[in-house]
Amino acid sequence: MALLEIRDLVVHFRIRGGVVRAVEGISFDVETGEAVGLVGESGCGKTTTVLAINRLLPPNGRIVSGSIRLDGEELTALRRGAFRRKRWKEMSVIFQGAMNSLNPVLRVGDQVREPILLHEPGVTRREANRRVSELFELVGINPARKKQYPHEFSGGMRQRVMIAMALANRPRLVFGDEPTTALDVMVQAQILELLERLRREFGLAMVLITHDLSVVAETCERAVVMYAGQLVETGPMELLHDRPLHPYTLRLMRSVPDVEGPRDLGAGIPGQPPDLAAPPSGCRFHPRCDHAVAACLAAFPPGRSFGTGHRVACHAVSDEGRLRAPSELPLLSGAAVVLAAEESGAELAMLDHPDDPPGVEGAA
Amino acid sequence: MSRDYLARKLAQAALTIVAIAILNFLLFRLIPGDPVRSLLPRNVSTQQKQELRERLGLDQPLLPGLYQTPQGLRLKVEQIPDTLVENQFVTYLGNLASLELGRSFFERKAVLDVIADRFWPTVILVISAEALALLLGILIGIRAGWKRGGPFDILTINPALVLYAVPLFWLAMLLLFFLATPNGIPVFPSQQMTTPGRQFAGPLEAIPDVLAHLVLPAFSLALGLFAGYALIMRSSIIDVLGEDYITTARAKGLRENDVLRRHAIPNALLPTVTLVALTFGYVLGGAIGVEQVFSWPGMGTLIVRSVTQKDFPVLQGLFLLITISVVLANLVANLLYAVLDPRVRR
Repeated sequence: MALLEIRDLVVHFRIRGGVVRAVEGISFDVETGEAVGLVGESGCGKTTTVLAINRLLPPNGRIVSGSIRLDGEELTALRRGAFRRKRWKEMSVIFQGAMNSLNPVLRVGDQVREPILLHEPGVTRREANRRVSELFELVGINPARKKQYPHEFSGGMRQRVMIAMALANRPRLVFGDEPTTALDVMVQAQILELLERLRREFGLAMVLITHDLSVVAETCERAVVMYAGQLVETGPMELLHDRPLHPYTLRLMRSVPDVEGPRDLGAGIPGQPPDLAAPPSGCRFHPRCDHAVAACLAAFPPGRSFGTGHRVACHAVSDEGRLRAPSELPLLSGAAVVLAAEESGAELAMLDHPDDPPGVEGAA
Repeated sequence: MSRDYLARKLAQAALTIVAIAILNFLLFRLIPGDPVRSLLPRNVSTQQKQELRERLGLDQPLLPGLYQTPQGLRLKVEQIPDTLVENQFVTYLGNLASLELGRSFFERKAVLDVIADRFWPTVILVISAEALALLLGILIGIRAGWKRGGPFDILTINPALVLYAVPLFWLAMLLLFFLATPNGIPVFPSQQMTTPGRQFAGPLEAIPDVLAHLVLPAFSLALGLFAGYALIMRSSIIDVLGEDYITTARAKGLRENDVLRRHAIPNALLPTVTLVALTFGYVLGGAIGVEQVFSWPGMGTLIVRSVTQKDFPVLQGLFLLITISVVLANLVANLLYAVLDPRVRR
């Protein structure tokens, strides 16, 4: 049993005149002590996924269906009070501390101490203070700075405070929501190193959300690739990097320039991520995909495993685990799209609002 | 808070007060109307007028060489050396320094004494109204902003907006009409600060009577004020609840009440503190109207009386006192702000 098991998670946002289908049936596991990267373009649902797991969705957001199990316990079924007693203690979130995640009018030490006093009623103030000092040392801040306010810290230092806070209750699982995004490259490297060290030291499991693939490559053993709310591929980072199967992952990996490679910008991905209030039918990547076949419009493909935890959801991938080249596929173009759509019973992408789209089949 | 910040704010306040003192001097010398004419009966001789003028020091030039004549201001250059010290401005500054504000034209008392009698009633009225308004405004604002769009929000903010738009004196008259006269239910006394003719053994005995008299004026003023505070508090709570650190607080497992109390409210109070300071002058202005409606024996009724009587020394003293208290209110707000917000302490 994995530490965190997400199954067929569906998250919707109500907006004026419609529903944004932000997360559409994703499933993945996080093992104890494992670092998993959650990657994808902005708006692909990675932050929404983490907010949903932590019950931090804005009032118009809702988990429509699916299961979230922490240590085998179903979190979605927990009552408010029971969930509140678990949060931060068993799983915490490293928000973008460089931004506005720390309260500007409270001393940083008090903010780090708050969850200790909250979740561990047996701990005295003195003991809690001592632990805050330890935490500060752990993340490389002089404990004397406990009495200072967030505005007296640099972005990188604030991020360290945020990390100290996330570790305050010694949780087993930590989510990092773009923890290095607003920092400059040097500081970013330091923070990643710190996270890596703490992770090993405490046996932490970590879910790292980022749009920066190099960060994932550096820190994570495994990655989950999302596109427009759907999980397209997951597997060991090395495998995803060297031998991606899903056309989107392939494009994503190629879009990162290689330091030792040719000096040009990698090929981008044509088009834009879809409007999630009216997403394309089937696999949401099909309008931008040069491997799209008729089946892609009809249904989101079930996830298929190809050993070592590598799982991909793509019609263009052969049963042997090979992404078939466009030349091998009955590609869609112009009239063919319409015909294929009619044939498969699906309506055209722009008109389609599937109420109950198929999710990724659990294959762990 | 740093000593630097404190010194800077004190210096700013002092400078403002000096500027006010100068303006106050000029204002009263330059408004039309001759106090001597309104002081004496119509049929007195020119010589008697001249004597009074000399006694009041009004024959001296305003500034060195600058005379006020019936034809307007005249600059007599040759007089400048002689009147370098002997002019109204220097006299005024000297008097100010020794807290000598002159004598009332009408009451045979020093201005300071005339104002002193009226000082505390206004202070009591304004402080109790501000306290009521702040309490109502902040509590309603927090609740309304927290459950934005909910029934509480709608049922409180809309009436508050109406009260905000209503002139204070009119509101006071309505309360007077319905709660202090036989036209409505006369629950409260209609005027003055104590029941006329009643004797009290000591100041403590008078408290219940004063409180009964205070209710209507204080509520009139508070009802007109709280809406402003409620609206600001509501919108700043709404702003703050959208901040990232509120999400952090929720993620930590704090109860909603604690999220509000420990993280949202301390941040949301900041704009309200500024507003209280900024509107303090407006509050005093409102107090004038309310005092007049309820014949409250404070500085507001004194201002109205002094204006009709052209009692310039009293008016000048009142203006000075009121403007200084507005400056001081701003100073207090600045210092309070520094206590509440660590970012402004430097």
